[in-house]
Parts: sequence; structure tokens; C-alpha cells
Amino acid sequence: MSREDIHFDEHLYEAVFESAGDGLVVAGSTSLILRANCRFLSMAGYDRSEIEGVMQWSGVIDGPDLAALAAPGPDGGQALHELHLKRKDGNLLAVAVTVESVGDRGIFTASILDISGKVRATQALRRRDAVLDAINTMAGLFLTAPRWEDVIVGALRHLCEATAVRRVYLFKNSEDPRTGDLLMNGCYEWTRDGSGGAITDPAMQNLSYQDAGVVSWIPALSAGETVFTDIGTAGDGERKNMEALGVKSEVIAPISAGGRWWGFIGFDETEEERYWAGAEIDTLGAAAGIIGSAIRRQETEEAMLAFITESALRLKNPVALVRDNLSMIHEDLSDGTTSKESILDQIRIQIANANQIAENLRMLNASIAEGRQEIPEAFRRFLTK
Amino acid sequence: MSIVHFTPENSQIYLVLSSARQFKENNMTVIKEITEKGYQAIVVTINQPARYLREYYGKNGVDLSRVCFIDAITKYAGGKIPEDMPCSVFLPNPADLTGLSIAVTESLKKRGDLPACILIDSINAMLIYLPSGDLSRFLHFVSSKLKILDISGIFLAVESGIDPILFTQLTSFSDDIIDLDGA
Repeated sequence: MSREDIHFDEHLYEAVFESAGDGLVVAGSTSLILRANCRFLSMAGYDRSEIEGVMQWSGVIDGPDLAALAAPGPDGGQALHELHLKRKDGNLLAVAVTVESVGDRGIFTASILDISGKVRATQALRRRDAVLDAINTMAGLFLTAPRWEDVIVGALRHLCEATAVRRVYLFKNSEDPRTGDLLMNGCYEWTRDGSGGAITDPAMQNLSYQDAGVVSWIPALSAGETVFTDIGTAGDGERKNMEALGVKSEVIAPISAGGRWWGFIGFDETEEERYWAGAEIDTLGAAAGIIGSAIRRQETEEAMLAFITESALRLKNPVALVRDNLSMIHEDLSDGTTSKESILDQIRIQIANANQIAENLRMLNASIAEGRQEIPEAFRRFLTK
Repeated sequence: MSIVHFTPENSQIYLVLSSARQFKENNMTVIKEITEKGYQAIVVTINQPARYLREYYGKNGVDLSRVCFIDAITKYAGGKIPEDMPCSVFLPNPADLTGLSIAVTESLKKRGDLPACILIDSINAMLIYLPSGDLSRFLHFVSSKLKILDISGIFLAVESGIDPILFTQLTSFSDDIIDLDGA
């Protein structure tokens, strides 16, 4: 082979090496990186001068992963290792690495494939499945508990574990009686370190969406849409709020109870600007739906109990009172010692009582019909007329 | 045997429970006892017309000079306001708690040097015209006012006509509960 041919081959191999879609590295016997191609430099975030002839493998691969690299494949040949590449910016990149010795001078080549997308998608699918399991558990908790408040912390714990986020929390809406502004009120939370309970921090009560810098959430959440924010793309107000809380990314899912926007459940990640797959966000929305259903069920039961109690107080017992009073009038008429004027007053009062009892029934019906979208308009008119 | 045990120096607020059957008679028995103890009785009536109660008290030997009425039902029911009813106020609407509060305050001012006792007849009748929450707030107001003025009071009720929550609230406003008929 002529010198020109050799020179041509060198250029050819150089071009193939540099333009490869995977990261390629040639390392010497001391694990010193001799050559790295453009793709590898891009993945690791270093300049060529910071890598070639300067950096050991240990500079870009973590200790435990480094040991794994030395393990042979199942048949003693090439092994594919899934591990993390330490980037210059400190972040870890999921990669698949194959290592092969070249000749007998201790030189080896490594092919590095960026699998972070696949890993993220796999993690998201696993988390989605875990959230679905958590939803299943939550539904069981809510069905058996007399009050949703009794089991909500446990439900948030399941969600926190399933999503592996830093913090899961529940906020309830209210309205500022003076200004009419929409306010949020912290109710319950669970954090990854295993603590949680009722949110008692006064700063988390009666906090306006405006002051929290998240007024932009209102249209989306009130329309039943889940909000996803990461700190890199958040608006000024929201970013300040996230920075103050140390949050890198968050998912906020609205909770609706009987068609009314009740509040929201939030999932905060504090360590990374996390990738949330669409399917995963959808399941968080489903979790919010389960909580909303539990709240609605309890509200309905409480309203029913209040209705039964108030109807007993203002309908059943008054009817008994009128009956007893009429009986007394009968006795008074029988013994003839009570004046006609007093008897007439008594009768008028019982008529007034009966009228009021009918009005009480109408008002009670109206209060029940008012919050019930499922009652047809014709029935609503009939009940409240 | 006396039913109530307050004195001018030691005012008390009682929740007095009665059976429906004995209610009118128990009302009269309590009024008779407190007037005989030298008290001015101020009867807030929503259940019976003041004229009727006055006649009934009179027939049973109650000293009517010691009984005043705040009648919140006769006028509302369209009854004629009697002209021969001294020391009586007739209110136009039993649901008007502001008017009722003013009438109670005015009656207490007019009592002079006599020790006074207010009797509300009845919790059950008030519940026809007021939601239980409003009634509870009103009774809290009355009991607080009576405590401040060191005046005794009696809330009359048919026990079976009160739900457990309201009963607990009434208990908290009262110094003691007297169950006249083991109702």
C-alpha cells in the first residue's frame, strides 16, 4: 500500500470516526482518553482539549459504573453496559456503552449511545403504572373511609412514592370576602423524606393566585386542564415562587367536585427539570379526579345529613308542635274556660306555623336543587316553586 | 320542690326540657315559681299568644303584675293586638332577631330594681321560623347578655325536637339542664 493510500485510509477512518452518530472514544492502557469524536464531546459537554490526552475514563464515568465496564459480555465478548456519563455541567446522561480491546497494547475503543430519551420514556411509563396502582389504592381508601380527610395523607404518600417527586400537596380554593379574589389554602402534603400531614404554615393560607405569581393557572385549572411548569420556561412571577420553594418542575392538576373547581393537587420536583410524559400527566389528572370524587361524595353525604337534620328540625318536629297545639286548642274549646279571642289567636298562629312549615319545605328543596346539576330544570322548578 | 335554684346574687341560665304533653303546664309552673321568688318574669313567646298565656297564668294563680311578655307571633299571624295587656310588646316577625334582641334589651332596662328572669317559649317554635344556625347564634347572644347583666334565663324546649348538635350548643350556653318529665 502506498503512502498516499495509507494517508487516504487515515482520512477515511478519521471522517468515519468524527461523523459517527454514536459517541466514540479510544483509550489507552492507563484509561487515558486518547481520542474522542464530536458526538462524544457533545454528549459530555467538554471541548476536545479538555478530554484528549488529559482525562481518564474515571473523569466521565462514575466509580461503580467504571467497575461494571470491565465486566465481559455473556459469551466473553463485547458487553453492553447501561450507565451514566458525567457531563461537564454536573448532570448525568444515561448512555449505553460497549467496550472492545484493540490489539495487544491495552488500547480499547468505546462506543457510547445516548439512551436518555429511552430511559426517560421507560421511567415515565413505570411511573404511570405506579401512579395507576396508587390510584387504585387511593380509590379503596376513599371508599372505606367515612371522611376523605381521614385518608388523604396516606393517599398523598402513595402518589409521592409512585411519582418519586419531592413533594405532593393539596390546596383548596376560597374567595377573599373583601376583594372577591380567588385564594388558595394549603390543606395536606407528603414529602419524599417520609413526613407529611396538614399544612399549618400561615403563609400557605388565604394566598392569592396573584400574589403567588400563578394567576396564569386560573384559566387552565378552572377549565379542568393540568398545568406543567419547569423553571426554565416559567414566567417571571411563577419562577420567583418556584425559586423561593426550591422547585425545578411542577405538575398542577385541578380538583373538581361536582363540576365546581375545588382546588388542586401539586407535584413538585426539586432536583431536576423533570421530563413528564403526556400519559403520566394524564394519570395525575386521574388521581385528582379520584380525590374530587371523594370530596363530592362526602359533600353529598354531609348535605344529605344536614338536609335530614334541618328537615327534622324545621318540618317534622314543627308539624308535631302544630299537632300538639291543635290538640290543646281542642281541649280549651272543650272545657270552655278560654276566651274566644285567645282561641282565635291560637288558631291563627297554627295557620301561620303551617304556612311557614310549607315555606321551610320549599327552601330546603331549593337548597338541595341549587347545587345539583343532574336535576332537570322542570323538576327544579317544581321543587322550588 | 323548687325547679330552679337561682338567686339575685347567683344568676343561672337553664335549659328546661319538657314533654310535649306537659309543656303548657310546665311553662306555667316555672313562671309561677319565679314570680313567687320575687322575680320579674319576661316571657318571650313564639309558641302561644301572650293573651292566651296571660289568661292561663291568671287561672292558675300566677301574680300577673310580675309578668311581662315579648310576643313575636300574634301580630305575625294576623291576630288583633289586645289593648288590655300591660307590660307587653308585640313584634311583627318571629324571624326578626334584631327586633327581638332590641325588645329583650328594652325589657331588661324597664324592669327597675326587681330581679328579672327571661323565659323563652320555645326553642322548638323558634325553629319553625329560623334555621338552626341562626337560632344558635341568637341564643348565644341572649345567654352572653344575661351573663353580663347577671340575669337569670330559661330556655324551654321539647327535648325530642332538638337535634344532637343544637342540643350540645344549647348545653354549652346553659349552666344546667332540667328535665321536668324525664323527657
